[in-house]
Amino acid sequence: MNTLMMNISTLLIVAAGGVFIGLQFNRPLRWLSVSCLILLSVTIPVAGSNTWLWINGAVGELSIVSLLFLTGFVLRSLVGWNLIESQTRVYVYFLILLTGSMLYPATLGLSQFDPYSLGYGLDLSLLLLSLSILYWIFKQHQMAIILLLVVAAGETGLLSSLNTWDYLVDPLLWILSPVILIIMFVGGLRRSKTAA
Amino acid sequence: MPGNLKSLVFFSVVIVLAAIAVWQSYIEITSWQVQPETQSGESEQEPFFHKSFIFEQEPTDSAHASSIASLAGDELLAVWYGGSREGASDVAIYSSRKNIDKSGWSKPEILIDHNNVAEDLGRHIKKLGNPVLLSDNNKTLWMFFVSTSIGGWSTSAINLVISQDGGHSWGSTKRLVSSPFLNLSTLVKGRPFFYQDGSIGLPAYHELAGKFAELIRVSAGGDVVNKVRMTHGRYSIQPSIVPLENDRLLAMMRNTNLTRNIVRAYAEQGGQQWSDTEYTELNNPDAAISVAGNAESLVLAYNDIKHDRNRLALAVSEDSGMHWKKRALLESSGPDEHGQKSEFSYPYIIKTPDGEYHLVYTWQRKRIAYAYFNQAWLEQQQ
Repeated sequence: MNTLMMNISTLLIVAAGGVFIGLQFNRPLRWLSVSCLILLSVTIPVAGSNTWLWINGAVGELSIVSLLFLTGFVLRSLVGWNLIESQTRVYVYFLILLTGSMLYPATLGLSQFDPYSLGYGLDLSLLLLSLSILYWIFKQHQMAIILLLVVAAGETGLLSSLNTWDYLVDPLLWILSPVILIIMFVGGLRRSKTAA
Repeated sequence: MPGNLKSLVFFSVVIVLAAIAVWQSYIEITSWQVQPETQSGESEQEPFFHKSFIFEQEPTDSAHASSIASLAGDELLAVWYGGSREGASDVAIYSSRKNIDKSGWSKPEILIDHNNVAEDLGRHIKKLGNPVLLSDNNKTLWMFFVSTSIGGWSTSAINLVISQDGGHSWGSTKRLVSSPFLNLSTLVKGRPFFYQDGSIGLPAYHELAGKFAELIRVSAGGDVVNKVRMTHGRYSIQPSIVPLENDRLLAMMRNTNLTRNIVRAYAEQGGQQWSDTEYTELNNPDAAISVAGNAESLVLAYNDIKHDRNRLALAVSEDSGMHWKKRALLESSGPDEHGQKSEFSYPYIIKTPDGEYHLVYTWQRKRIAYAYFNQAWLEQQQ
């Protein structure tokens, strides 16, 4: 299971890269771009192995949120399915930005307290379930379901980690979240100007 | 689906997940009781001390970071990493075994190399290092070691292989997830120990941004089930932990700052809470140390100077590590004819159930030296 999830992570990273390269083209060309990049990743050598294995080594398993978002991005671009609403994405990116900004510096030693250790116990799962209920009550159903999926994956041990933080957030998502929020904000401004 | 039915399904799933989470936390760790190390009592023995090398003919140009474990049938197994140089792609973890009563170690064999690990894990592996062994004094052995995929040692992750037949064959490599930041920067050096529920206390350290010690709780099957930060800041790494009495632990640690003294910390409740670190009176040149024994009789192997690693000594404590007396100097040497500094480093000491000590350490980065002595010999060294 662990190797499978790691390879799914790498597949989605490479596929998202292919989609990104082919963004200005039509769908068939995006498919072509994704296929070419997947093919190249298993053939181009890096540091004595291929690019695919190198990405496996460098990144490992992505969080459930990252996997959902990458799947959403790839499906939206390749087949036009809007898996995750734009408003939900904004909420999740804010949540990830906030969570990662608290978690990573502290875990790397910038505080005496290690919040990562909370992820082994019951507390974080119950906190996420409570948040999920709140989002449901306030009609943010997708947000609630994403958090539910995070807890469900954590409790079933879908990834190799037993720590719930690893199911919610990963450094790539955290680093990209402010960038994507800015892009979404600028895109929103442009659209509103055009409409005006 | 109607709104009410959706909500019913949603809240049902929430309740089921909450119940699973509560159940999981209930069946996971319930106790932090440390398993006392079995001691069959120190028999009245004549003092003895033997020193030798694990191999005379170097299988590799470089050898470093050894570890040793006692097995059933009075056997010992030693492991270390060796290759053309530290961090080279040909570095592998080697092993050698001996019977305590017979002289001579077996010819070193490759236990695992980076290709084996890469194959097991399905990912690129750049280099291997710091193997540490834990034995149940019977047939089961756990070997933790670090590997990197990108970057230097500070980007290491911990791996585990388990043997059920005294180290003759090993299962496939399992990668432990112990850090949220791409699982970067958790390393091992100190000897692990058992908790009463069969799980393992694994002394570890982090050195990417901060430099601090951690105690990782690993299930017998190799899952990280908890983690406690032992120290903070940027100076205390490579904890060597000894269980004392009543689930109290002592950690002696390498100090990377300029004070050049070994630091120590104590824990209550099996390592759940650690005291602030204290500087000991023991000099140390920012080099690995190792401690073994029990509350009344602790032995520390360390470089006893503030600079360089050209002396290796033993110190003893009879008061749970509060006060130490230097007892023996095992190695001391100046530079060789080419001006190359001597190095005797990375000690790893164990006390076997019969009360005898077995120490392995790096000798000039070329060989692994082995010393074997008893309490009576230590007491003679005033």
